[in-house]
Amino acid sequence: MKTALKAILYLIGFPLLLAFLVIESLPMFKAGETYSFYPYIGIMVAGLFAIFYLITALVTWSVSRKTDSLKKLRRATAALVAVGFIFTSGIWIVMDQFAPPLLSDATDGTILYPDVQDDYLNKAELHGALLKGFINMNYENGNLSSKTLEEYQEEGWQNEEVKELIAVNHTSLREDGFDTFVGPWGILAVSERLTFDGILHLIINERPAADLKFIYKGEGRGEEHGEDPINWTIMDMVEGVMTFDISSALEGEVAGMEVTALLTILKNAIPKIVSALNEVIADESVAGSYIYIDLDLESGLVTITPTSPSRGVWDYMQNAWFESNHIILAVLSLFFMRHLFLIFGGVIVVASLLIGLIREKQFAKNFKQEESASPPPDDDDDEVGANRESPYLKSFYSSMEEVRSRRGYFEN
Amino acid sequence: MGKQKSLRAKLGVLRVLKVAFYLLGFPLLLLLIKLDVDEFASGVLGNKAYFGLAIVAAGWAVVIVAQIVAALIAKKTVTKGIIAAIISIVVMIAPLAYIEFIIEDRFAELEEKYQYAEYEYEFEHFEMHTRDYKEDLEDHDAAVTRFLYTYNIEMEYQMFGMENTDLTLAIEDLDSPDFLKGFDGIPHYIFGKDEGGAVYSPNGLYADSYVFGMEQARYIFRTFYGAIDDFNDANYDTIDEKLADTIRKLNSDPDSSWNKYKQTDAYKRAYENDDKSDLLNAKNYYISIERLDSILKVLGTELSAYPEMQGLINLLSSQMGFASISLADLSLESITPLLEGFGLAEADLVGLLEGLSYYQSPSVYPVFFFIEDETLRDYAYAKYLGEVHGAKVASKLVSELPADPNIKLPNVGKLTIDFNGAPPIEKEELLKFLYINEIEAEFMPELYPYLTIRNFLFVFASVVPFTLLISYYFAALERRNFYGNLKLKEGAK
Repeated sequence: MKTALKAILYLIGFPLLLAFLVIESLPMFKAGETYSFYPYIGIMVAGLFAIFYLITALVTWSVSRKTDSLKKLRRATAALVAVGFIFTSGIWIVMDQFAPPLLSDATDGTILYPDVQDDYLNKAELHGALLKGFINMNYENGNLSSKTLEEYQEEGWQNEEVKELIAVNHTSLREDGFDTFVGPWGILAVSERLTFDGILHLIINERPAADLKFIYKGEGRGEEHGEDPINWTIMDMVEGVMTFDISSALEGEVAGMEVTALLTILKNAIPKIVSALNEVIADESVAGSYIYIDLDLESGLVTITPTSPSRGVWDYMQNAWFESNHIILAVLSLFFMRHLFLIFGGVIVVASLLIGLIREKQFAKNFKQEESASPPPDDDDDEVGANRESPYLKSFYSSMEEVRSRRGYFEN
Repeated sequence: MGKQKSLRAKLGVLRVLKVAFYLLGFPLLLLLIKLDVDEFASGVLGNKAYFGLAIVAAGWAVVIVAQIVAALIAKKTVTKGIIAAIISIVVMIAPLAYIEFIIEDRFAELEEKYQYAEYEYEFEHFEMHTRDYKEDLEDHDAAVTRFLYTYNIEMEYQMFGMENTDLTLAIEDLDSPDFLKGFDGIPHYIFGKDEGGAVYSPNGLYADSYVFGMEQARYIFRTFYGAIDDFNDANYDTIDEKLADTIRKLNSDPDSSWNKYKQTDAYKRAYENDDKSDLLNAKNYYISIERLDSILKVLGTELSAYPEMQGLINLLSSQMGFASISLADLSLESITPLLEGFGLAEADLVGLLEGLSYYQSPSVYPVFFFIEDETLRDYAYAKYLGEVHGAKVASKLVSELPADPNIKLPNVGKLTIDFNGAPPIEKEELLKFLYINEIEAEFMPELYPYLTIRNFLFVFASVVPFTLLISYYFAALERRNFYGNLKLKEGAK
């Protein structure tokens, strides 16, 4: 009966915790299914902790069977409780204190601890989607063309072609793009401080000649599947399409003519002017690469579309994450542990304590059996040797004997 | 057997009561204070929010030491309890006395100091602070949040890389030998040198990647609005007129320090340099006339691909009465007649381009360095840094005031390519905020941590010794039952 109870207490500890963790991590495994063992790091670490606990349980169990001292038995229980606590709640209490600066440093402040502490599931799905989107973009533009889209998606990160493209793209975007922006303007731009002055600097500043590494293999550019080195512009570094309103600027007058009237005359010409402007920006003497600008006269909205999606890259920050996606997924997989481990910390501590108490009961029972089978040992032999009542009281009184003799409390 | 069981149960109850009453003293007090002050740690008090907590914790430590000493010197539990209780009264009353006498005096001093404060600011007496300190802290922090949001800045200044556009390095050390050395008897000038720290370029302006913190923004606003408010010159209507005229004179007077400075190698290297590979060549970083010329040529080539565009240009030219321009030959030279038709000279075009994309070389003094009138010079720096530098880094502080006071002020702060900034805080309100904020930011961290514990100390001054005594009482009962029982057993033996 007691053994069965102990088994149940063990089962509601780490085994149940691991079962919940597996269920909770299923979306994580799905998101990172082609990322080898990386999305399983969390489960592996949890399994390792469970093994530590199991080893402690076995060692303390062995102690509890061999020992003839209640004190040692209780020490074993204390060790089991402590290990149970340290490898569940303890580790996360410490992590919460020390991991935030480490994570921030490792990701240059782009991923913060509070961002992933609770939002790990969405983050995992986002990072999984980065790979799927990357393959889609590069299949569409022809960079990936030797297999079907489904095959690429199925193989994902395991596909060497995909892996190489990720590495080449990122190196190019960083070394031929971001790093070539002179001064602080690139950093300001990706820090949500892209001003008109900033964009002008980023377009017109002389940039050191880059050793162009990016190989665009898309169809319809140059030779069939030819290689076409390109320049990156700042718009490739920032996220998504940008829209800004210039309607207030359209209300004035130029040379005595209402701007709106002038624009009406130019209406048919605007797309051509805009297209010519795009060519100008792409000219080596200006930005050296396309920035697609469009003007909608009706709404007065200017939109700027980056070329990065058509070239099959994410914006600079996402690309930096994406290049280390396997590491990020591994880190995220650890956060799936956090809530469960904090909750189960209490369960495992209580279960360990109960296991200890059951061991004591068994110990007392065994002792009684031994006692009836062998003559009573001498009183002075050891602390539980006194042939009085339960082992608890024996221990209790023997410790009091120590106190009494030490302090001479009852000496007259 | 039954007797032993009931003894164990009784001992258990006594132990629980002993510990429970102990927890109701200092541990509960510390917990309540911590929960109460946590919210202030992110505001003006910062870590000082926990100063009061530290005082109480120190008091507790003193009581623990007293308990240990009492355990060593006293035999009776009651005696130990009394010693601990007396010490606990002392450590509770002492900080209270300090607050009620010394700290209250500090409040009285400040009340006197700010008796005739500006902006109708009233420094309340001590009792009002003890009553309202939480609201005051919340108000203070809310005003700061609004200010920081409006101007897209943070409390401390930020740097986005340590390189300027021309790759000169930003300078943090104000005594650095990398600063320029002044010119023509005018000593080197660093704007806002003593105002809470900033990071500079060699010419004494802020570094390109520098974004103001609270203190520097305050200094810019004060300098800017202070000069406007104090402006009194019969020759000019506004300080901006005087500034424009002063700069015009510096430009036109061939003997001005500014014009002499423009003859130096340093200046020429930045602004009259044809070597594109020279990083210090400022022309690399803005649309110069030469750059515009090459852009126009490319534009002409691209546009001439559409024959109807040439037709359109011809149509517009004839409507406006100008000679038509051939798109294929589009260049600065070919549009000069057109510009003249608009009444513009090449110099105007240069001015227009400068307004659009001028780059102030960090290695060269700006023209306003040479303004002799110090107030006007400070104003020019504050205006340039708040308006032009601020706009470049998406933290615009000030903007050109519209001529018509009824026109809404243009947005400031985060004016980026996809964000429209925020309406500025109205001048008087802003100056009042800056004034009060500075006073509060000084006295709140100094004095309010005491107020956060004051009420707790009053309430717990009696609770702590009481709970300690009760705890010792239960400890005594526990011992009596415990040893009493042993004695019984001893007697029985």
